[in-house]
Amino acid sequence: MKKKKQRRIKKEALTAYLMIAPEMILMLIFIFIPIIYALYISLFDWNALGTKTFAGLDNYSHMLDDATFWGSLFTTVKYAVIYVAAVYILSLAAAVFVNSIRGNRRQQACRVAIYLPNTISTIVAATLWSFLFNSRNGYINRIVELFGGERQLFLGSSSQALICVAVVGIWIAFGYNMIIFLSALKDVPAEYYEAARIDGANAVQRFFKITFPLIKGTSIFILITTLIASFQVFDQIRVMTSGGPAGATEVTVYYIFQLAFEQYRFGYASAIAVALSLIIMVVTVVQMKLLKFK
Amino acid sequence: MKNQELRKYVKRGISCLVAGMMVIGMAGCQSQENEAGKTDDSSQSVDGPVEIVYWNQWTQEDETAFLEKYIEEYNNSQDKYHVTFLAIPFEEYTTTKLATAFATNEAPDIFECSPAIITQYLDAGVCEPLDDIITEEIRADFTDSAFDTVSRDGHIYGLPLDSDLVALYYNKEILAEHGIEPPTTWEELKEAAAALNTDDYSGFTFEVDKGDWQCFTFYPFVWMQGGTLFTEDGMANLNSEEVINALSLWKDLLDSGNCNETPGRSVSDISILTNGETAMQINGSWSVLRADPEKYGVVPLPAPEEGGNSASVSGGWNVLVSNQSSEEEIAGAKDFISWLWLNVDHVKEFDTEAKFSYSMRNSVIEAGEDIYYSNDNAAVFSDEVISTAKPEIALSGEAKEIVSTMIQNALYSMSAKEAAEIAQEDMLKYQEESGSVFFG
Amino acid sequence: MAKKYGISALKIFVGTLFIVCSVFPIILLISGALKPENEVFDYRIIPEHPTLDAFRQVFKTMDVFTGIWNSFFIAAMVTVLALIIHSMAAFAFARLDFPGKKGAFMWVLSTMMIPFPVIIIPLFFIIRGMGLANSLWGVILPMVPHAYGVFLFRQYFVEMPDALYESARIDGCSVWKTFTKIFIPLARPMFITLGVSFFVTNWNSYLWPTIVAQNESKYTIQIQIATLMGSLRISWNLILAASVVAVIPTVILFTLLQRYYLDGIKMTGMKD
Repeated sequence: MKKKKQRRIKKEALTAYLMIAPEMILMLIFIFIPIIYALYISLFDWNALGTKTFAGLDNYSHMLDDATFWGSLFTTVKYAVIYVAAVYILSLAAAVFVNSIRGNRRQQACRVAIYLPNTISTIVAATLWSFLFNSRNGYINRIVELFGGERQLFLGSSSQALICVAVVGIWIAFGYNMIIFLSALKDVPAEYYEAARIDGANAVQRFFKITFPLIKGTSIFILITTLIASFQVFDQIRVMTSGGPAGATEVTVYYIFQLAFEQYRFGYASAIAVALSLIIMVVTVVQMKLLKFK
Repeated sequence: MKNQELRKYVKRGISCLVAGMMVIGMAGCQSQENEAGKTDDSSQSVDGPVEIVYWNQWTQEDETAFLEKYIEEYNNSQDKYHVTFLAIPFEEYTTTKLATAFATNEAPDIFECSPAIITQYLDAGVCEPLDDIITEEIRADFTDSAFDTVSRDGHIYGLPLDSDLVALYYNKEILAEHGIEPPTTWEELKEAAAALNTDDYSGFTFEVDKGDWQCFTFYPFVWMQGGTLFTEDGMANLNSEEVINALSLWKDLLDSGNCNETPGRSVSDISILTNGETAMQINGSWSVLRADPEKYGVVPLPAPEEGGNSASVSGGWNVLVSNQSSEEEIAGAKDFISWLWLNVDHVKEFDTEAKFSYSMRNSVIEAGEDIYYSNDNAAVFSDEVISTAKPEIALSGEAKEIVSTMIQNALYSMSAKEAAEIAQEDMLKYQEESGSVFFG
Repeated sequence: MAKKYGISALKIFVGTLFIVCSVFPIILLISGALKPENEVFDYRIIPEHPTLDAFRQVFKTMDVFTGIWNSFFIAAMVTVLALIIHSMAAFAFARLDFPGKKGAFMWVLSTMMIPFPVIIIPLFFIIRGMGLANSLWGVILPMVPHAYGVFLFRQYFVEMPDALYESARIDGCSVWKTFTKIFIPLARPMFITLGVSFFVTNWNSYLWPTIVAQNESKYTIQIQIATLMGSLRISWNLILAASVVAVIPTVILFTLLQRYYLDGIKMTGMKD
C-alpha cells in the first residue's frame, strides 16, 4: 500500500517535470543564458563593436560612486510608488464600479471602454499624451484654466514630468488590472452580500468587511506584478521625455539603455542591469514576505 | 446539443487554424534558411552575384524611391553584385539596430552614420578605408573640412553625402501683426519672444529635450561669439565665457516663459511653426521646401550683439563600409558607392530633387544652383548661412552625454556657470582616462 | 433613500470620469487621423475638414498588409505557444508535488525581473546562432517564455477548490487527463484574458522585431509606424492614421472576446 503510494508520488513528480519542461527550457535559452552573458560582459569594458578588455569588478565599483545611477534608482522608486498605488486603487475602484452596474450590456460596454487603452501601443499612447500635456494648447491645461488654475508646464517641469509619465503607464495598465479584479469580484458569493445587507451593513462596510478580504489573493498578485512592471518602465520615457528635464524622469532602465545604446558602454550597462535585477528580486521577495504571499 | 456541436466546430476550426499557421510559419522559416544559405554560397562562388546589403535611416518616400530606383539600375547594369536596401526607423537605427548588428557580426556591408554617432564606429575600427575610391581628384572637389570627421590616421573612411544647416524660421504674418522685425541679436531675440508670446502660441521654439539634436543646435551659439567647446589641441573648454554665455541665453529664454517649454514633438520638425504653435523656431535647411516662403521667412541665427557675427552648424550623413564583410562584399560595396555616390549627377538629383540639402562637393552645388536659389528662404541658406557654418562636433557617446547633461543642467537645475564647471571637470576626467580629443 | 441616491450619483460621476479618461485620448487619435496635415494640432475634437486622405496615403505608401500579417502571425503564435506552456507549467506548480518545486518556481519568477534592453545583444546572438535572424520565428520564440503567464495561471489553479482535483484523481483520471479535461475548461476565462493580453502585447511590440528584421518583408505594422515617425519631415496625420489601422484588429479581438472574459468564471459555491 505504502509502496503503491510512493510509486504514485514518483509518477506524479515525473509528470510534473514534463509539464514544466517546455517553459523551463525556453526560459533557460532565452532569458538565463542572456543574463549569464550580461553577467560576463559586466566584468569587461566593451563598446559592442571592438574587442573586450577585462576590467574585473571596476564596473561595479564605478557604479557605487555614480551619482546618476543612484539618482536613477531614486527616480525609479518614486515612479514605482506613484504607479503601483495608482494602478491598484484605480483598477480596484473601476472593477467595483463596473461590477455594480446592472444589465449585462451596459456592464460589457463599460468594460470595453475602460480596457481600450490597453490595446494601444505604448509608443502611440505616449505620443497622444504628449499632445494632451502640451503646456500651451494641451487639453489638460485648458481644463486647469477652466477651473481657474494656473497653466502648468507638465512635461517641461522637473517636478511634474515623472507624474505625467506615470499617468500614461497608469492609463494603459489600469483597465487590464481591472479585469483581473473583476474576475475576483465575480467569485465573491452573492449570499455573503445578502447576509451583510440584512445585518444592515452599508456599501462601504460591505466592501471592507467582505469584498476586500475575499479578494486578498488577487490584490497581492496585482501589487507584486505592478511593482515589477514599474521597475521596468521604459517606452513612454523614451518617447515623452528622453529622461529629462534635467534627469527628472531618468529611471534606471532608461539609464541602462542610454549607457548601452547611446554611449556604447556595454560592460557598465550590464553591471547596472545585474544590480537592478538583484534589487528587483530582493524587493519582490520582501514584498512577498510582507504580504504573506504563499 | 446544438451549442455543443457548434463548440466542437469552433474548436476544430481553431486547431486547424493553429496547425495551418504553424505549417506556414515553419515553411517560411525553412525558405528563410534557404535564402540565407544561398546568400552565403553565392558570396563565395563566382557564378551568382555577390549580395551587398545597404542600411540607412531614411524614411522619406522621395529618398527611398531615389535609392530604390538607382539600386535597380545598378543591379541591372552588371551581374557581379546585387544590392539590397533596408530603411530602418531612425530611433532604432542610431541606437539598438546598428550596434546589435555589429556586435553579432550581422553588420550590413554599406551603412550610414551622422557625426553624432560616427566616432564610436571609427574608434572601434569596424570601417573599411575608402581612400582608393575617393581619389585626390575627387577630394579636391569637396570643401576643405569635408573629410575631417571621417578621417582617422591619414585614411578616409566615409563619404559625406549631404550637409544640413540650421537657422531661424519665423511666421511672417505673426511678426507683421506685432510689428516685429526678425531678430538679429540675442537681445532682440529675447524681446521678440516676449512680444510674440501669446496663450495660443509661443514666442520662440528651440530644443529643450536632451539629446543629439539639442547639442547640434547649441554649438552655433558658442561659435558665433568666437568661442569653442574644445581648445585647439582638442581638450575640454566647456567653462569658457562663450559656453557660459550661450547657456545663459538659453536659460534666460526658457525661464522667461516666452518659449515653447513642451514641444509635442522634436523641434527638428518644422510643423511646430507651420501649425501655428510658435512664432519663431530654430530649424534646418531640410525644411526649406516644406515652409511656404509666402508665409514663413528664414534669417541666420541672431548674433550676440549689434554688428556681431552669426554662425551655423552643418551636419549630415556619411556612407561607410563595414570591414566585417568579406573581401568580395567590400569590393562590391565600394563599386556601388563609386557608381552612385561619386557621380555628381546622382548626388545632385538626391540633394536637390529627392530632398533639399547641401552637398560638400563644389560641383554638386554648382550643378544644383537653380534649386539652391529657388526661393527666398533657400537663398538665405545659400548666401548667408552656409558660409558661417562649422561642422558638427563628432563626440563620442560619453562626451556627448557630458555636453547634453550640461545643457540640461543649465536649463533646469543650476546656473549656467555651475553647469559648465561641472561639465568641464567631467570632460577633462573623461578625456584623460580615454585619451580622446574633440574639435569644434 | 437620500443616502442611496447620493451614492449612486457618486457612482455615476466616478464611472463617467473613468470612461472619459479612458476613451478621450483614443477619440483624439481617431479625429487626428481624419484631419488634413496642417490641422492635426488644431486641438479641435471634431475635425473641421474631415478627410480620409491620410488613410489613403498610408495604404499607398506602406505595405500595410504585409505589416499586419507579420504582426498577426507573431502575436498569434506567441499567444498560442505561451498559453500552452504556461498553463502546463502553472498546473504543475499549483497542483503537483515534486522535489525542487519551490526553487523552480522562484526561478521562473525571477525571470520577470530582467530588464529587456540589457539582453538584446546576447539574445540576438542566440537567435542568430539558431539561424533565425531575419525570421519571424526569431521574433516569436524569445517572447514565449514569460513568468507573468505562469504566475497568473498558477494563482488561478491554486484558487480552484481542492476537492475538484482530489475527486477527479479518485475517479481514476490521470494527472494529465485531470488537467486537460477538468482544469483547462474551467480556466477558460483565464485563457481568454491572458490570450488577449499576450496577443495585444506582442502585436504592439516594436523594439525586438526591429532588431530581428533584416528585410522589409519582415517588418511589422509597428515598425512601419515607427518608420513614419523617424524622419525630419513628419506627417502626423499619417502616423495617427497608421496607428488607427494598427489598433483596429486588437480592438475587434477584445470586443469579440470580452464577453467570455468573465462568463466561465461563475464558480459560486464551488469554493471550499
